[in-house]
Amino acid sequence: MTVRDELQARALFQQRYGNRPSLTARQIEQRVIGGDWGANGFTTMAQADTLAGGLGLSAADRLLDLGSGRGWPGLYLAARTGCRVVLADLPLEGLRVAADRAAEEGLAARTAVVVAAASGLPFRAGSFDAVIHTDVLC
Amino acid sequence: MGFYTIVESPGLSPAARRRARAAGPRAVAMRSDHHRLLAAAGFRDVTEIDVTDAFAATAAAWLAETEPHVEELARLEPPGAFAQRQADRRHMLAAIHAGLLRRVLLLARTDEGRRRRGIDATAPAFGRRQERA
Repeated sequence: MTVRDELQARALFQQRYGNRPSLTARQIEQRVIGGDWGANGFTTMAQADTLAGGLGLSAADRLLDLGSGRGWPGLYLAARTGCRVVLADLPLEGLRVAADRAAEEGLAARTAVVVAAASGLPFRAGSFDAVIHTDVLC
Repeated sequence: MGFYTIVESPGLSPAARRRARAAGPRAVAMRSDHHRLLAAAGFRDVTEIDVTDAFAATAAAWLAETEPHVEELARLEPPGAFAQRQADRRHMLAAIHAGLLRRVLLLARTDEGRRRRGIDATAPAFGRRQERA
């Protein structure tokens, strides 16, 4: 991906995340993937559960979700498994929505959001027990 | 580590690979494959689960569910963005049905990850395998 491509993608997602999903959009998302996180990719609720099971996520774990958008599925996995989660993405607007949702869901104490690219993460090695990304490479 | 990703189907002709890359997301055109990249990054315990059937169903569901609300949904996005995504979804769905694209879940662990999970270092890695989910 060129720098120009990245800037275009960031601008598109900034605008998309800056708009709150309508009731219709949330209902469609619920019917298609089973959640209402403002996502429009291909990772269903059942597949997020499979991911949690495959990684053996538990309340003892620290999870990093790369390209988390508005928090799907990292926040969901934190709610489901009790793990702590760091949501990392480039568009600040999506992370703002995710932070608000974490507060609404009572997950704020176990959730952090970080503006960062996967190519230059500001974490030491061994900071996480599991790393995920869904619908990022698509 | 765990991630879902879309890849081109194995064994495609050069012309079919071009069609797969045109229909899939940009990363489908990667020069290496995920197993090599994971190995290079120190992951040696890799499971691959094929979720292409669910991928086709989800791609079709997005189209079917959004089509009745095109005008409303398009107003929520920059001009042309929604229409482009619908066109991309149709293109991708056709490529899935043509057998050009697959979606997989990749799960991988490092030796350190195995130690943290209490997995015996001498236990065999589960290696590459195909499953359906």
